[in-house]
Amino acid sequence: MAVEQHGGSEEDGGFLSESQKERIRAFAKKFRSNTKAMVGLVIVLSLIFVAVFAPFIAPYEMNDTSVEDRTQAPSVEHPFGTDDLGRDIFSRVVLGSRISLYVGFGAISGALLVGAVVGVVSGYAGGLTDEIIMRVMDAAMAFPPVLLALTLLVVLGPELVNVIIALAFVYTPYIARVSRSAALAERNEAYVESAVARGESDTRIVFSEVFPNCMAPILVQGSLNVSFAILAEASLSFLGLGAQPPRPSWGLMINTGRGFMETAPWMLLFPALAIGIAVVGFNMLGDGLRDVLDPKVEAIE
Amino acid sequence: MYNYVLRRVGFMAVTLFLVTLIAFAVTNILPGNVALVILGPNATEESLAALQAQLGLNRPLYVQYFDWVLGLLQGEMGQSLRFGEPVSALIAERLPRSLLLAVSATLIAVALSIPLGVYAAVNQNEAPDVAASMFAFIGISMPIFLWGLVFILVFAVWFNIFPTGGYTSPTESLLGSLKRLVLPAGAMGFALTAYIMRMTRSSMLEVLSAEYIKLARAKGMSQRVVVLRHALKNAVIPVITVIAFQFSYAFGGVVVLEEVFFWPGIGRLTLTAIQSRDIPLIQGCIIVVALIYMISNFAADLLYAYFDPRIRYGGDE
Amino acid sequence: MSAQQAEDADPVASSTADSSADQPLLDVRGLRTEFRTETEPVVASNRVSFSLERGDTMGLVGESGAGKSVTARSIMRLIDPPGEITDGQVVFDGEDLLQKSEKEMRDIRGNRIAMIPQDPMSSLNPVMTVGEQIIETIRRHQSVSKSEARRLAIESMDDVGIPDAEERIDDYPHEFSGGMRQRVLVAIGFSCEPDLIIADEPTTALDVTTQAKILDLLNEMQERENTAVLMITHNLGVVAQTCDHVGVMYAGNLVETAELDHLFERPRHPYTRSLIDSIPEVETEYDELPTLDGAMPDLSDLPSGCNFAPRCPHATEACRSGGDPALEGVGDGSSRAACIHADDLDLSESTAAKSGGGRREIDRSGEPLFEVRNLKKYFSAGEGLLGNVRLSREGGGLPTIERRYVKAVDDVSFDIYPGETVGLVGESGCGKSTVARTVLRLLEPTGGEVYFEGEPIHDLGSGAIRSLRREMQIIFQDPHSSLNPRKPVGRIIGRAMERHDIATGEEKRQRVRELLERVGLSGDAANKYPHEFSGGQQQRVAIAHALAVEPKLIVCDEPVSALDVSVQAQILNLLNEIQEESNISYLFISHNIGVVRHICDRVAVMYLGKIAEFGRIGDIFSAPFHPYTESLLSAVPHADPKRKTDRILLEGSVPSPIDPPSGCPFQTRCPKKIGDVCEQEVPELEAVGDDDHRISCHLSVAEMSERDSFIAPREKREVAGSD
Repeated sequence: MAVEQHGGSEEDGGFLSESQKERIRAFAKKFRSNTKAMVGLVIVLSLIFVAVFAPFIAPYEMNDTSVEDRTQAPSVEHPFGTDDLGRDIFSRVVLGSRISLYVGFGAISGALLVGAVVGVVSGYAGGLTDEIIMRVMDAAMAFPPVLLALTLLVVLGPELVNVIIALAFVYTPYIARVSRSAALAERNEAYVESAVARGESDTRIVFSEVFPNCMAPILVQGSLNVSFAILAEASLSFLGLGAQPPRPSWGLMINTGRGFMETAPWMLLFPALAIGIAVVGFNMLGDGLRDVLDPKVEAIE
Repeated sequence: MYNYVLRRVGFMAVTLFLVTLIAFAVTNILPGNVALVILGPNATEESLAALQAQLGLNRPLYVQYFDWVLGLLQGEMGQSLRFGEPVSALIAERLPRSLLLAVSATLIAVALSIPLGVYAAVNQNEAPDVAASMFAFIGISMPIFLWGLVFILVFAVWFNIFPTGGYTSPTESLLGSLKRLVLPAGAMGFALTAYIMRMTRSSMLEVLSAEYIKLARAKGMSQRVVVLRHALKNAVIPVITVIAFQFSYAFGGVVVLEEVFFWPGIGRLTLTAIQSRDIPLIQGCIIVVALIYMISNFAADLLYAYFDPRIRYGGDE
Repeated sequence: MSAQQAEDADPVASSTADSSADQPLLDVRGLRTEFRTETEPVVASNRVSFSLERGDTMGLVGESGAGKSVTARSIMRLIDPPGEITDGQVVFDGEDLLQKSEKEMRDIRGNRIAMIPQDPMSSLNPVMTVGEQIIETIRRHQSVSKSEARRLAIESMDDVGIPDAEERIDDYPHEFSGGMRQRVLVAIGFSCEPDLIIADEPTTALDVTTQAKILDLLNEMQERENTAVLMITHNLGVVAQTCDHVGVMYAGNLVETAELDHLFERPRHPYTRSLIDSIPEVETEYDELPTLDGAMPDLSDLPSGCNFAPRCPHATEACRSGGDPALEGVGDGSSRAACIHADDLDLSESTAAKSGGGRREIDRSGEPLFEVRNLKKYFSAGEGLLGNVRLSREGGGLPTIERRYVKAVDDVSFDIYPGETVGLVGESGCGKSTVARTVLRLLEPTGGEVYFEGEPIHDLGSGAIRSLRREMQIIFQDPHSSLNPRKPVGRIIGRAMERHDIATGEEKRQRVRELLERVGLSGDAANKYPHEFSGGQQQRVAIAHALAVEPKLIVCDEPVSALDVSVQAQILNLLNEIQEESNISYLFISHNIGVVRHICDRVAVMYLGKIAEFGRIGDIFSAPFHPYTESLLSAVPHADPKRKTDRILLEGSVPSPIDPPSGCPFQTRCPKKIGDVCEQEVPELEAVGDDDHRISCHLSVAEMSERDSFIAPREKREVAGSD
């Protein structure tokens, strides 16, 4: 995993030393023996597989409409049934995974990039800088995520890219908060003082000493937040401000299915299941990572 | 103690200022954009200029912001473009309905989650704990609107016990109001239960391994006394913050949930405002929701002090 | 193994041997407690057998991980899963506690067997008043009314010396000082007049002067109530001052039990000898502190023979196989030892090489290497920005805003010469660690001047100070925290060389190896991560890291206080050796008087941010004394039962540095206070004789010289360096 990376390879000429291998082995062993982490990882990897090979897995084109095949119950030809326009729901759910992962990873990568740096620097710097940054983050967290994202989308326009931008903006404070707590905890460790006493510059201490030790809680929070972002995207699309028709977004499909709740419950059921599985996957991975990495800082949920 | 309260009030004032700044900035990300947002991309130059003049959008941004905040301080949030009514009146009408929903949901969640969390912690890694954890996992892993739909499907469509949606004022018919409240509040409460339960469980586990719990056992105290008298009071302190956070999270949830249940609260109002690009109304709504977040956090801080004698008596060192 | 089985099979026989016709109060027989792990169970205590008479005190000593706390908790059946008592008997007043139901045990806990836990800060429930916590114990075990229980609780608080018990009973734990909280814990322990008190390191978290008071209190309570006490401690000094019998534990086993005097006069187990030797005696000069090589083995990986054999100077081939020996009677006395050579060995003499040489003379004729003048460091009280601002309404009227400061260091001056070790001693909160950080500018000083080789450190810009860090290094208390857990130690040490352009590439690697070997580790250790080392080894790495830049001064901030006694001496000797080789200077921060005595040339005694007394080591330990120094030195428990120091117990606790007392900072507790002058005037740090011995006190030299010396009460001996 990324947590176990070690920058300078000049020490050992690019090869892992025995101790480094031992560390990775120990981590892998702990990870493997953690059911939650393993189940989470399997789900996430399967999701990624499905998303990457979606066009090969999906038996139909996502926009193949067929009037005579409208609202068909699940069958051999249409394992998840068809929707009100006769489109194959299985194909749409499979292709929809791309949207969910795209938004989830995209938004959280952005939030991680900004939030982690801001949080760690803020926590390490302390004093006025920290106070100002954290008050701004607090204020940003006063707005419920979905609401803030909705507002941003009104201004930016309802496009998938904008959904990513809006969600990245919304989740940055969450990452920053956790990163800051982690940095604060690390700042009190004597190795930081030891680095100062060695004559290191602040920049080097932040990025070379403190940052690697904050990776565990940041990774846990990031993994949990991917699941939030997937949920948020579904909500936004459900409300009509996320992905636009005819894109096969799971939230959008649920919105359509809502009208056919009595006659064609499968239109609702399968996209809902897909969301549930994806979110459970990232949640379990995050939770499992927390158990395995045992960070000192609690994640925000 | 009063130093503690004063400090919290101070924090709240600073946060409030920043909240207005963010709310204003979000709707003005691109300068002069508001008129474009309202009229849509196909608007002509002239109509844009006219609207900008009408709304005072041609003034410098800081003047607009200052004007707006000044209005806010007097409870004045401008005129809704969609409804042609004052934003404050629109919000005042709908806010109590949403509060009713959110408060009921939080009460349901607290009543369920704390006993459940304590029970899970005391039986750590045994069957009841695993079951509760799984329940929490499922609760967390589904979007709130989905729970709403599931509840409608089961209780309204299949069993036909409760109406599918709508709102009746309690002053009109208490029973009717309650009937319409059960499903939305239940759905939201269900989602919140999961979070609060998880927090209660982990907080309880931490407290149960504390030294003073070991001493209580060494004094011959029974398991019941150790858990209820010694551990719970300590464990509940961090949970308070989570409850406050979840209460305001519920307000985020209402946007979607009110749409599902046709509940005419602030959530639907916000959605209408968003769909009709009614910028003054959007600003008003999100400020009010943020304000509720801050108030509930402040209340949590006070409760915190009430439960924690280290803050109640003496300084906050 | 046969000897061991015989021991297990008939434990009663061995224990009746040393008990009278009367049954002992507590008779532990072959107690074994295991902890389940993923691989195989770890035996945390094994074949522990001892007995305790009514009213007696037995000490259970050993280093961390020896199994003493596990044994104590096993007796009360308070072992949490995955721990489990797998064998043995705990006969208490004729009944085996291990056969009792959990409900019956609850009636015994707190009632007939009570526990006094280690940490007063975390052992009281923060959301319950101390009264509630005492009362619930009384009401749990005695059928008394609420008001009666409250009266009893007040009485018990009175008994343990808590002033104004009647008012303080409704206070919360955080409103009490550490020493007072420990008294509350003692009150809870004695509240139901138990037959047995298990005191689990009851004074470890306390300062020496508070420790002395609590130990006195325990002795007094015990005599009054005729309670038996099982005293768990790692401190042989505490044992020597309080116990009648002693059990020594090592790697989960009891290796020796003996009467107190016998144990110190003629230990029967080599480990006991080493343990006694590793505590330096105050009155002895050592060329090198006596050490015990290596560290206690990991409980999951015990040697095949005697557990102590790998470290034992007397081990023979027979010791290294055939399992761990059982505890058996030795000689004609009552001592028992788990050593196959116990009968042949005479361990009555200390193995430590003593010499009168002492520390070499320091040449103080030239310029000092390091000079601190009037250093001040104030922290703002409270957390965060503006956290120190407070509204106060003292004296009525409108509230006023005030900024509050913690005066951690207030006007401290001293100097250090090349090759010298200057110590800063004092109890927690006296500001000694803040001095360490402020002189290196790890913290910005509030005022004062610091010179290194004439260069004004307090004036340098951040770039210049970073370059100067090559000359001044620091070693921290917690070696585990001072090494970045994500980097191999070789890189940590090498980075220091790179930073100051001392060496790069192959040369750097070579020097890292040399350094690691210099501090007593293998050169191959460079690729290992910090967590792969033991605490003592980590501190060696930290020393190597400090040495990597070839500094002239190292600040040692409590470098051995996180380590076990047998490892402490190794590190101190290493520091001394390095000083001899390279004429390096140390600023040595410690709360441990014994350690300071043997490593420092001059010492500053600090109290509440100020220096109370400064002088050469001999001067500090002999008259005249600052009243604080005198009580501090008198409070140190000696690891020698024959030696009873006439202790001076201080009233009250250290005042808050936010609101220090007027005049002399020590006046609120000083047993020799002479009156108004102490409350009004801050005494100057003035010379009280030759040799630069300075004391900050209004008393005359004669008044400060009532006691002669702490160093040589038994045999008068010239103290090197004092003349």
